[in-house]
Amino acid sequence: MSEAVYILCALTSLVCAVLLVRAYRRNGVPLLFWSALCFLALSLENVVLFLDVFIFPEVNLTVPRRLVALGGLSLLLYGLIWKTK
Amino acid sequence: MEQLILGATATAFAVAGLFFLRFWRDTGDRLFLLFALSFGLMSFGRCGLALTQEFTDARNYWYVLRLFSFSLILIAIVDKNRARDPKP
Amino acid sequence: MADEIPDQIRQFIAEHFNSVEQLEALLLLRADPGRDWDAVQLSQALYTQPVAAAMRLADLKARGFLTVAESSPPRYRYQPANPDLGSRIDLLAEVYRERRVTVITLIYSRPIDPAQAFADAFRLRKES
Repeated sequence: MSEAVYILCALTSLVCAVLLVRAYRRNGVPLLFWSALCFLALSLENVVLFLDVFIFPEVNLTVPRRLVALGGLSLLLYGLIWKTK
Repeated sequence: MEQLILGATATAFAVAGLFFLRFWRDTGDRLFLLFALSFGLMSFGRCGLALTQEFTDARNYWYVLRLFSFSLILIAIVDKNRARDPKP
Repeated sequence: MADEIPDQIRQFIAEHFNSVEQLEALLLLRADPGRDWDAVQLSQALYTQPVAAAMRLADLKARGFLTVAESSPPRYRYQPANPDLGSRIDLLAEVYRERRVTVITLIYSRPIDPAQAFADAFRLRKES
């Protein structure tokens, strides 16, 4: 059951990233670029989480995947703080 | 170390959520309210993970929370497209 | 000097107008204030899709420029929510008649609000 959840979360984030990139290419608003990177990272986090739990249970990927999420959020916060009014 | 990362991530989710809340106030767009709720839940989830380090059983309900957070984002996207799409 | 547009109008444009088509639609309805319009009629007048025209009308209504009769399909009529809004539209219409290019440039150079751009990114259907 939980594997479906991780995939769904990864796909949702990926959809967000794609939509944001698409809009960014149209209007060049920097916030969209940083947000897209964040959602890409969140998507990656879910993919790695899936790999960690179901494909390579013997390898511990906890720290890398959490750093990916944190890194993505840092980029989002950068965009939110510096690229909005 | 892991707890430090989780704490920082929880804070980052919460702060981003507050930004979305402000956007909701500024634009009145429901999408931001749902995003804010989603990010708030994610923040809550990370706090929970940090507090229950031995996540053998715990994982079961933390992934439900994760499912819930991402569902809110999906709902927000669907809502965004339904609200502006007048069907005959 | 020729390009001078009152600050009031600049601000009005920045607040409400994001496309020339939107302005054209408003002025079209304003030209005949007694007439009711539905989306199909507007789409024929502006050579757009009925769906786009319906969104356009709903948007103009939300901005307080039109009133709507809740029929099916809904029919819209030019009627600003208050006299002040009406006089600003009148002024904008006059400026647009005299300095069309400047107004169009103003609409296109309007700075995009990042939050609004973020929300609009999640709209799958492209809107002009």
